[in-house]
Amino acid sequence: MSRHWAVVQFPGSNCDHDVLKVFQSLSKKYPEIEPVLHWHEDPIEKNVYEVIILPGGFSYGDYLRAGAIAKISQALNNLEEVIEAGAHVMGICNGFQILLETRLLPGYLQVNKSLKFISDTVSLKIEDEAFPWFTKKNKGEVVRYPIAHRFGNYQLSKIDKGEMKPVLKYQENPNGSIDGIAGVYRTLGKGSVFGLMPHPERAFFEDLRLTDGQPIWQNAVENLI
Amino acid sequence: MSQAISKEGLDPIRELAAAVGLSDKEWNHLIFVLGRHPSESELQMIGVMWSEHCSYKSSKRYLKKLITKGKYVLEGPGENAGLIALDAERGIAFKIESHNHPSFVEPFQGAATGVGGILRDIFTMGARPIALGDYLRFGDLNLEKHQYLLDGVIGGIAHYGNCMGIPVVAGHVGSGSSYNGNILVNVFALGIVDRNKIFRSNTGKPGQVVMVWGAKTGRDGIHGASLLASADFESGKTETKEQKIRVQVGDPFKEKVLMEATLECMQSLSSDLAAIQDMGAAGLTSSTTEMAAKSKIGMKIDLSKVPVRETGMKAFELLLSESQERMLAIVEKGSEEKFKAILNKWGCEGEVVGETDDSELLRMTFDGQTVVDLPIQKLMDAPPADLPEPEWPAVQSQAYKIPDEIKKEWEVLEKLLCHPSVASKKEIFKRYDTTVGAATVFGPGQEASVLWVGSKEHPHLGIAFKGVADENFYQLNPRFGAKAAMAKAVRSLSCVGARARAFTDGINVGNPKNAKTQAALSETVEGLNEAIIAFETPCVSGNVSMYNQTVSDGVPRDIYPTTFVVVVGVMDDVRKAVPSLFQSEGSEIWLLEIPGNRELFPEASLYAREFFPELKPSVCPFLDLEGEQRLQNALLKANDLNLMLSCRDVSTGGLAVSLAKACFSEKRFGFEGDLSKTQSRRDQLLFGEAQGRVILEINPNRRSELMKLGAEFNLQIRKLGNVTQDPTFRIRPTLSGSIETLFQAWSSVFK
Repeated sequence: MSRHWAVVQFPGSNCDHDVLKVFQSLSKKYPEIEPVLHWHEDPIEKNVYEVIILPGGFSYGDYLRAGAIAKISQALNNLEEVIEAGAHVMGICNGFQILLETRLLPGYLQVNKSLKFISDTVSLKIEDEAFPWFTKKNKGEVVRYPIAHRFGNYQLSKIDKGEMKPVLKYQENPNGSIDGIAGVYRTLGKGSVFGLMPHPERAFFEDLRLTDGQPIWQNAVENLI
Repeated sequence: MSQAISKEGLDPIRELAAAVGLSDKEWNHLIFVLGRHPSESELQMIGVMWSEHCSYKSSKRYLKKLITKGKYVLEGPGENAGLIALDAERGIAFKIESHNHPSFVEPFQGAATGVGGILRDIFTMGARPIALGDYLRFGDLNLEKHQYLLDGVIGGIAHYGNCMGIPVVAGHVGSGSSYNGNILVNVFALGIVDRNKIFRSNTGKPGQVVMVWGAKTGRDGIHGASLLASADFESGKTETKEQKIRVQVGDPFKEKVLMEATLECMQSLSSDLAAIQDMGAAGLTSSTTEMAAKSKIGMKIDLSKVPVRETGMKAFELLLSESQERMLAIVEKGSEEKFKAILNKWGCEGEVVGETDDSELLRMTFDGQTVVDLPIQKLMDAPPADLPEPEWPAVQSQAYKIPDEIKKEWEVLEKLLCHPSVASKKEIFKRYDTTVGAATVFGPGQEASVLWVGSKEHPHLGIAFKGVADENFYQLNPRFGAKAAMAKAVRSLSCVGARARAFTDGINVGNPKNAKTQAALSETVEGLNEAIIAFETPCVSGNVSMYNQTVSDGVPRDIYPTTFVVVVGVMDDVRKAVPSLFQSEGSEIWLLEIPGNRELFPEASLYAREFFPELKPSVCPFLDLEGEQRLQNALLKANDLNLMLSCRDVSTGGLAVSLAKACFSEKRFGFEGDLSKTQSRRDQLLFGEAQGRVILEINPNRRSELMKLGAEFNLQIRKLGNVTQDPTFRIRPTLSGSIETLFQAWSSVFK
């Protein structure tokens, strides 16, 4: 299988280059990884990308509803089949909102309890393993990632029966999410879907003095390559 | 506007000239140059071109004295933004802009479009913006109106900056009653540019094509520059429909795609893109006139081709619309479709609206009719305004009795920590995305902001910046205010380990027709120049906002003259950036200071203003620019030696306030100090605001190196105390209490 790792670029994405910077840094050590910026109007075919990141931002201006338009973009047209064939998709922040719109993960995000945008660095507990991102060894660890969102209050309605497990929880709930859930995960066919509000790509570089996000990316490399 | 024309018995065009703000002198000058009466559209254009906002007619004579050249300068004032060198390949573009008047009328949109405007200035140069800073002044925050303005302005900046994905990493929020009728919203942006791909507005040539890029044009913001930004307010009438409709409405998503499209055009079609300018104040008018005049070319524009989103727009409305998220570009003939392809890919409009020629005339047609035909070079400069000679009111040195009373230190400390200019702004900064871009080493709350801009050649390179203004100093003595602001900003950069290279200034003053305002301008520029010479930090860009005046009960009241300086510096290795909070238990805290006479009381400190208001302090605190250079060099050397665990400047509130704030890390260290042997008046020592003092945290075993450093740079050093695990704040013999109490006081103001 190919080692192309893609970041999907929607108009309004603004964390696309941050993730790409992480991939480029990884590819220095692991030349097999080829970082790709994938334009939203190009369909994603099966078995082309091993990892697909839906980055943070305000895709299509978040008009209508965060993530609502990105869901019907050409790039994500047959996302389910692409994942079933083996792709590992991570949606960060706006990317998480998009994944919830696709219903590949259950639940919905509403405005933060404070009604305000929250930017902070928060402590999170890794609740469970989540291939390829978290290993059994990570379970129970506490990490600090930045958050930056206004619609990050994760909720499940009674009719939300979709399969998922919470793998990341806030130590101190900043936004009112049910059970303090910050990230949810499921496997799907040969691939997986992971949606989270915090930004592990902003906790990667040593120069920024916060490297708690390194294991998540490092695990993916070690588990997939 | 149009009612004025129909007044019977008056020359309608003369009447309109007065309505668009032309003085008799300007009208006569216009007729003299044209040799005929202007058309309505021409007059509307001249009205905005010669407005204070666009022409700087009341400040030019001082601004041109500013020192703008230096070894790092790639582009000084005059372009969309200033540029300095970062390394051999890259430059730093930066600028500050004001959006005071729109933000007072409509805080959310006013502040949001202020962010949009300054970001366009940056990416118009070819730079990708990487950081924002906001410098704000509100009126008395006990007034409900100002709580509303605060919330709206912060919300607007957050909305626009967060959507654009540009982190707000710095800022300052202050308040004071001089801003009750006129708040200040100054926004700073900084970006990185490839030195081989810098774009300017003055590089158009005859025979090229003029394009409008970005959003469609509507009727929003018409006359914003002339009637909103260049006029004063009248108390109680600031929310008239007349003024509300002058405020532009921003759409950060449109700007984001315009930015990406523009940067992609610059990257892939750089040789076809001749010149570019953003459409800010007075939209199409200022962009066409400035590009034609600066490039020394003529331009023919067909206004019917401008993409519009409203029907029935008149020529003058197209010319004056301040619809946001638009650019004017001059491109090589034949390349139009290539530009359109990139713009359309990003969902932006791109339309050819005219061409350039060698006529030195700006000609515009609308529906086949010629509506504008102006000799543009001759009309760029407004005739010199009739202005009063600068005169700063003499400060009466008051015969006051130095109070014997010394206030209870703990109560003073608590009260100073809850003063809005000192109190924690954490809750405000939580509304801004401070970490997007994965480059923020130090965000808000540190002595200076630090961004990591590593490249292959310089993997750990960093940019630092710091913005400062103390309006109380400016009000007392504008020259001192300017020098103190520059010294403080440079000192803060030195504290984190960056060397200052250049700065941008945001001047905010009252009515230019007052001698005092003229003096504020003149003296501020003199003060800035003294600092520029001392620190070798030229001014590369800036903004002047005038008419920050409100008529209240028939009396015009100017704001305190307030000039924000944002100084930008560079550091080789961001891993060595020094934090401003205490780092470890047991380390020693030292004061490093410039020697000199500090026994001035009551100098203009926050303590004196709050606790002895009847004394009306008239003495500027100690400041020594030559000493500041030594302090800068000493701190940078200390950084080279890895001497400092933490470092912070002593500023508003004085020494005790700075020491207390240094304890407010998540670990909540305490401080144990002893100043019982000091000869000075104790309140002056604890709360005075003498400049040129820095608190250093060092490992005890490196004391001798610090002493050597002090001697080498002729600076005084004295040990203040130690960092303790016990969360108690103590300065013997009399000041003692719990850190948590102080922290709660400090955090209680902005929720």
